[in-house]
Amino acid sequence: MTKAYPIKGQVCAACAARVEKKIAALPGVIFARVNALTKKVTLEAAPERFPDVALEADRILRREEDGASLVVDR
Amino acid sequence: MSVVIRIPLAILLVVASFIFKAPGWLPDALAILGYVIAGYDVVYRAFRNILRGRVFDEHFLMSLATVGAMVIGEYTEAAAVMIFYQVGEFFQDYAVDRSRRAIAQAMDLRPESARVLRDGEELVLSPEEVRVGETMLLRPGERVPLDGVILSGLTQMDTAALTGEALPREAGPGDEILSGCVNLTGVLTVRVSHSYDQSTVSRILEMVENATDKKSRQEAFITRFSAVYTPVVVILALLLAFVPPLIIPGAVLQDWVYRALNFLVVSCPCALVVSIPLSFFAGLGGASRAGVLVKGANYLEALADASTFVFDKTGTLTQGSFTVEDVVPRSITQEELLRLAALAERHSNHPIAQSIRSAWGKPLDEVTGEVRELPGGGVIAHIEGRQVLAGNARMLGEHGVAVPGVTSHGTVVHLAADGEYLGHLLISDLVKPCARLALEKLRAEGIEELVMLTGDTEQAGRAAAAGLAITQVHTGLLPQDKVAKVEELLAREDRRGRLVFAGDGVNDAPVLARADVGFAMGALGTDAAIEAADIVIMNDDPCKMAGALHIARRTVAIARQNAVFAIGVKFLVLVLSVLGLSTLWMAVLADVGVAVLAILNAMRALHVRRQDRMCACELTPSALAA
Repeated sequence: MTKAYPIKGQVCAACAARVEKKIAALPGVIFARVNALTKKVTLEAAPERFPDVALEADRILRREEDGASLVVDR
Repeated sequence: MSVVIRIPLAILLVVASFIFKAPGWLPDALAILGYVIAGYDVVYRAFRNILRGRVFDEHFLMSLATVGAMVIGEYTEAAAVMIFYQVGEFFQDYAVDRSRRAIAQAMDLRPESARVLRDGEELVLSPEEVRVGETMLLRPGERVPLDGVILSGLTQMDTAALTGEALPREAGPGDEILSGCVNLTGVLTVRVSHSYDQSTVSRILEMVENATDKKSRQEAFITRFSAVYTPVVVILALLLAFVPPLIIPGAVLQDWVYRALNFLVVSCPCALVVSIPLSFFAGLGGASRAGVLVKGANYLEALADASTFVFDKTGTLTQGSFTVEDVVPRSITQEELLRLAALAERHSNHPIAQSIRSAWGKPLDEVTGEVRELPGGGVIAHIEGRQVLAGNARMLGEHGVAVPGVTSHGTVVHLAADGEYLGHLLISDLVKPCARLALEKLRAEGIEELVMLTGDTEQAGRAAAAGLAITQVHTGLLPQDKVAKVEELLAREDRRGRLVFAGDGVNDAPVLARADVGFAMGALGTDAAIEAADIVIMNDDPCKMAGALHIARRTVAIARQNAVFAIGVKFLVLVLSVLGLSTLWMAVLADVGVAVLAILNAMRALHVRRQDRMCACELTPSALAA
């Protein structure tokens, strides 16, 4: 299942690449993409991994980029 | 505390440090306080990032520069620079956000609500809530929220948002309408065919958004450049600070450290890293508004570099559907010949049969006897007691009918009844009205080679190419031959630019993949070609290819301008710093000013010239006659 989440706050282009790598390394994530221009994070994982995988991605984003977070409906 | 509060406060403190000179330590203390209030988060983040392993980021550089300034006693300047920097960052973020939203808004043609008839009640819902199969109502002037099929009502549709076309299209019951178009004149009831996510506009938006993921070579270069640039400048700064004082007699350490600090301030390549992707994003958005969907920034870049255009004839330069061009009877009337032909071809699904039937136009009520279709030959039908043959010369010959020689550029269907030759029909695939203008435009843009490939006969190929600015024609090609031809063109020694292929059929998919850039004609083209293509033309107008070429070149030029400007200014400041002619204020200003200007320049890529958005032939129908 693939879901996209909008990013709140600012993400610089270099940070986006870094965050993307870290999210892609999460267990159960098949595919991850962080687009700094459109401010969207796209995640592909098994359906049962949602919304946990999104929350984990949010945590990574917050750690890497101060002021940025993912908008996740639980 | 928000930047909006801290900065004015810090400014106040710095101003105060100029006013209150006593006690002696007060000005410096006020300046330091101002600095802390303005920049504590920058220093804090610098530390945190170092702990995470990211040393050379802009926070660290600014911190180093300003702390360094304070170390050599320039407290006021440190505070002022930090204030400048924060203000600059604020404006930069604001500008980028505004630009992003402008681009997104320019592309987002989805209305907020849809009017639906549910259980006899008329409801206003958000388009996401509407289900497939439900009935939607549209009033004149409303933008279509979802894809659907018209159930009742006649109207004119403005498809400019999707296709960039100027002339409205007529639509009536049974016609498909797409989301994003504007319903101009009529009141319609529509059966919804696709959900919100699957609607045309949503899919286009998604395609353009995903296109920014495919980085152009310029963007990749910027990423590599900035990874190298920053460490190099920092090292140079260190050398600049400490080496000259050691080797140049009379050099003051403080002076050189100050110059080195200038270096540090200019060492952040933010203007580049932000404005280049933004330029391409704007270009992609602008193209989509012109009815050209580009699937990746890299394809836009490749297109700008094109020197050879290869076209598949059928469906790209020609209509792709057959038309009866001429009816030539021997001894009977034209009408009679056409009637018999239409009756004979009544049940065939072959496109040639369809063209004959639509040329006849009238209902075929007469009873026909047995009809036999011979693949590759024609049909044999029993009509009104006679055995009628309708087919090519070979087939009639095989049945004992002598056929006069007919040279033509199209397909010839001969007719005979009971062994007697009756005449022939000339059926051809007409060249698109815009094809000539499109190729002329490409020529004008500097494309050297315009190649036509076709599986048709040589006569058909040459006839189509006549009047078009084609430089090479290759006919009689099977699908694999087309691939081979493209490979041949790609391998040419003297080829300088990229090779672009334009096609629409299923058998074009392998060639589309092989070319540097593949164009697919959207409306008529098959899904396979659209999937395999890099750029899709929404309304299959060949003029759009020239428009796309211009947009691509413009976008690449804007991105290059930004790169040259940003790098140029930074280099200039570096040189001035070494010579001691730059102050920290100047450096920060150069950094921030360049960034904002580059962002504004990037937005220019969003605007598309009228002649690239719309085809000249739409605007002056009389040009078609020329």
